Amino acid sequence: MSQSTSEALKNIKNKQRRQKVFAELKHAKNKERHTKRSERAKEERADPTLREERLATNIPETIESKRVYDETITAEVEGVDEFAQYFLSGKQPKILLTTSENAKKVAYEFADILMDFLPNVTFIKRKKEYSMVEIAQYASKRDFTELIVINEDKKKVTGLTFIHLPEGPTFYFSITSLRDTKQIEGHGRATNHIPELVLNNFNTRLGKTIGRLFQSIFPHTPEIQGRQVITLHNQRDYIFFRRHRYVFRNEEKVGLQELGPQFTLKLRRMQKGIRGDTVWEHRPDMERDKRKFYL
Amino acid sequence: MKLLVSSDDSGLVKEVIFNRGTDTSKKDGKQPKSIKNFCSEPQITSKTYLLNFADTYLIASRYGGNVSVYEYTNEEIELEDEEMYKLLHSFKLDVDKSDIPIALIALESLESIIVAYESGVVYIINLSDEKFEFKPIPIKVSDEPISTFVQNPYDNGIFAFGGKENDAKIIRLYEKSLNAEVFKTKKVSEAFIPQVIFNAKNVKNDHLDLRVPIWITQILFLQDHPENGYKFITATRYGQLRLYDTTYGRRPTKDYKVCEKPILTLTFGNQQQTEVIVTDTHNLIAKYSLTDIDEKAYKTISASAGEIRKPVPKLLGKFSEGGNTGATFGIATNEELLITGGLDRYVRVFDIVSRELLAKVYIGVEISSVIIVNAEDELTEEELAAETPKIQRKKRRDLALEDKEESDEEELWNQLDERNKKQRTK
Repeated sequence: MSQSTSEALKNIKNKQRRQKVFAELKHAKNKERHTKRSERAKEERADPTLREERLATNIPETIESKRVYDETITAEVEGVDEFAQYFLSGKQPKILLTTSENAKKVAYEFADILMDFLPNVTFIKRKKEYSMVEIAQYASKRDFTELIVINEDKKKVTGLTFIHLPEGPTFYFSITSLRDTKQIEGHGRATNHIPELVLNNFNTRLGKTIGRLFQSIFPHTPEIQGRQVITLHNQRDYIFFRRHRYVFRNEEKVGLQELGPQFTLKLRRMQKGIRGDTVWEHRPDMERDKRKFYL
Repeated sequence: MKLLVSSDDSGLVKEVIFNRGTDTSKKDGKQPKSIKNFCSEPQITSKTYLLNFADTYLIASRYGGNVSVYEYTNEEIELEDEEMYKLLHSFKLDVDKSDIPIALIALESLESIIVAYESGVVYIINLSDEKFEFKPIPIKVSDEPISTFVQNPYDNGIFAFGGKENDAKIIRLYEKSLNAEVFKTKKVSEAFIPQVIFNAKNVKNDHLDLRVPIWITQILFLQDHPENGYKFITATRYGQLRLYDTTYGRRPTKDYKVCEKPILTLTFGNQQQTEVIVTDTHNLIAKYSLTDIDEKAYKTISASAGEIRKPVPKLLGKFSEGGNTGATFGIATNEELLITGGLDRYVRVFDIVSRELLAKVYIGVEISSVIIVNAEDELTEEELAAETPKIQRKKRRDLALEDKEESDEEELWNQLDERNKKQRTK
């Protein structure tokens, strides 16, 4: 709104009248924008090159595009990590799932949700007398490749710990925005096929390690006839978990049906070994700079 | 500045050359001059310790009892990359596969090195023979596992160790007068019989009468020591710093809690040995004073014992610039610099006094140890030429500023004078 209109509005002493005038102005402006848009759309339908031109020149600035420079994105990955042996051995994943001590109903319900898509998974009820390190030792002796612990606090699922066996590393993620399949409108029913895995935007050195973790959880030979995909999409350090079934409707169009569940993970801590020395830990002050991302 | 950095991910040794002001985290920041890989090791290893042995050998001790001796390349001689840090010999020590090396110490008077393992066994390796036919001598110093094994740099033959539920002990490993000749005699192993000369005692139970657990992670000997005794500092996995004086008693003279997380390394922060630099398993790199103690800094209230006050050494500051996120294992200091490297794959150089970040280099591998080869910046002729006029220009500008200020002042005085004159005329 131009300076003169805002001045003019200020001069209206009656508040209701002022609000009314303002609303009218706003409405007119919106209407103008919409007509402009529809006209542009019409023009672009007639001549698609116009649209391409506009999209090429008009690139909006986002937080991602203004991200703080991180040299680890372009740097080559050197040496081998703790996952290397697992990938070389060609072992199939074998997962042990448990909860935090004294877990309540929600934790078991979440375990049920996870068991729907985790391959080769065994759930064990957590016993108080064993520490995480001891459980990890028992599990690695029995050829498990991953230990997952659901963290529940005050009847809410708050986190997930992933311990790669036998030597670590350990990851702790917090969980938010959990939605069960039933809560998703138009959801489908998943089949038992091994899903395909899509990992998006795991770019930095730390991000690549996180990517390796998720790779190690799912078998590397998806059953394509199942047409199921699990997506772990990282955006601004939040990792979104989604599961879909796709269908090729024709040569151009692909249909997606969500299978659920949905939840969001955020890395809080990464440790060497089984809960050993910290490699990376989230601190509140890391969020001070909105353009700095770690994954 | 030239550093040698050990890489845990690949088992290599990296030679990093950079100048002050290097920052790889800035898009158009100054980049390191070179990062080169040397000393390749077919096996994947971690916890590599590096040691510069009298500027002749570079020694690397790795997991699984591997001790490699490389030629230490002097920078004055220009060599091809393949020729640098040539592997001369590799010792294979008879240790368990899971046994972790905890220390690598140079004994220059004996022309030997000591490699210590967690199981409590230390190996002495003599390097005076150029064919490296020497058979390493194993010495069992402790039945319990140890987490640290250090040499007293001010008294030959004196060592200290400690570990989990294994309180600090000082031993005499060999006689003070012993020299390298002993390796030529047949009774070599008889010369190295550890004698415990000091056995530390745990601190008293706490106010709830609970035993305080022991887990020594680092020991540092102090230069100033009483006659017939030693002074040393221990760091623990429970975040404590303890000062001992062997003539005072078996318990520590001072017991401070400085952090919550396990302490990994302990080094002196200045030449007078009144400050220590501590790193922990999280992201702490901090400097504490040993002389400036706040007697009442720690307060807790207990129902049975009432108010409890404990002394805490003054935190002189953290080396937090540069955003360290992980545990720091590799630490090297000289009079003015502190160089750190750890799990977050960066080498950082700090000014030890002002704690300013002087350089930050992304290495790409987890770092377990760092050695300083040369702390001076190497400037090319162009850079030298570029640097000198800068200073001159600055000076000139300063002079100009001063002139301006002076003239301003004069004007002010003139104005005042004029006013005075006017008033007088009135």
